[in-house]
Amino acid sequence: MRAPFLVLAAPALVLTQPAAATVYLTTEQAQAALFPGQALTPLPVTLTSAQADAIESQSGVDVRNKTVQAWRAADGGTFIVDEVLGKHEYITIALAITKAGAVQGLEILEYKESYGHEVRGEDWRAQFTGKTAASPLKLDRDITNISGATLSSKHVTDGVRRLLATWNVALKP
Amino acid sequence: MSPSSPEARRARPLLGTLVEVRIDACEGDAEAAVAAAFAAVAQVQALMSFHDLDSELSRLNRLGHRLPVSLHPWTVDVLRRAQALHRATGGLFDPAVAPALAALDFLPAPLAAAPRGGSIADLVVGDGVACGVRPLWLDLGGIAKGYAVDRAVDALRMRGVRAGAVNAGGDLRLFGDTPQPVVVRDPADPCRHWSLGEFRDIAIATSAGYYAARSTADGLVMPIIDPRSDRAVAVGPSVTVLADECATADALTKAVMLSGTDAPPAWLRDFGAQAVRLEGRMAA
Repeated sequence: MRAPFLVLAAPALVLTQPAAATVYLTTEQAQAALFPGQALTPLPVTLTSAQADAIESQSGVDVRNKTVQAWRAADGGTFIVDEVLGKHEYITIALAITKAGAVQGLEILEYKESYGHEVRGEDWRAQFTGKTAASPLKLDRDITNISGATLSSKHVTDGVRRLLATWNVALKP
Repeated sequence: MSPSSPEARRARPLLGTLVEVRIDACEGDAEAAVAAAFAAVAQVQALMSFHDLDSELSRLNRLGHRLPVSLHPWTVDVLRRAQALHRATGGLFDPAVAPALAALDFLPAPLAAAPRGGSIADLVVGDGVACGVRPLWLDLGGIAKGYAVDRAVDALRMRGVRAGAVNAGGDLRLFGDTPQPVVVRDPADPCRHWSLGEFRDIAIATSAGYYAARSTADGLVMPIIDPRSDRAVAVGPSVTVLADECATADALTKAVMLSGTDAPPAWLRDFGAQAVRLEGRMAA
């Protein structure tokens, strides 16, 4: 493991199947982490078209879903769960906002690659079945350690900006 | 095999990517350890971000050619490592390529007039201080992400974590007694993975263009600049480097990418590192 070598192609490597989703926290766990010891009351909101327009102009980010999953904490804070769509991924985030409108905390709840076996057809998957079965990795095993070029977090940052505007337009206590 | 249910697994947006911290075995408070690990990453970002005009690095880029700029020990550590990597790789690793990255819109231009020429060898680094012998724009994005991973692993270990992993958007480090499988994305189709094998106590970093390509007059390029020509590298292959520390692995991916494909670069041995190059034309 310490002798240097360089592999120029991939003959020694084994193809594995795409990763499944990673769940970091449930909504309840994120509520307990971001508002410890506080009771949270559901605050169901459906944005009007005028509100969605206001959020888009304040944040510069498109509003794709007018249903907002929000909760109010006893101290006046707001907890929002939302899904962010990137070019390559779906990310579910939980944002905690103070009564005054500042970000109190952010947790990633779930990360899912938006392509792979869900988008690809059976034919695409079938061609890897043999190779995968021969590999020491099990098909149903969660792939936890993925090395690769860096995926931007720009969509998460955009999502936070959109949720702060949502709070400003529709969720202020 | 990695344990099926880690004691804690969290992700946060930091360093412009998603940083994941995983604790597999811990003798202390796992939640406190996770918080300390993210705090270490956030500190590296606050010190060394090129994008943040208030970072120490931005101050050094603005003022370093006029007066000595005082720096945190971590920033000094990264600059010294960067200089050592620059020397060892014959100049292939060079954080002074930021003007070329900014010209291609990979980085924001902090000032109207970008410096021309110069390398990190033109920086004089002392204890807690650095200054440049000429104006330089340094971008530590090619090493600081790995360095942040290393500091996060230190923070976990100091709080009783015996086994775990930190992964900053694909640059990762594993520690603990149990070997864990690691896969690398296929550059031709990044949702496909190639297994690298099972490892413990190792850092693995990858550079490729699949998430960061820009269309230019030279075709699709990735944010890696060849200091010899000041041009960006064409999208295609990926380079993965395995080393003891993630800062080393992170930096060496760029140097290996630029070193050609004829033979493994001799300097890999100096760092006890290995490299895997995947060509980008294996599309299914």
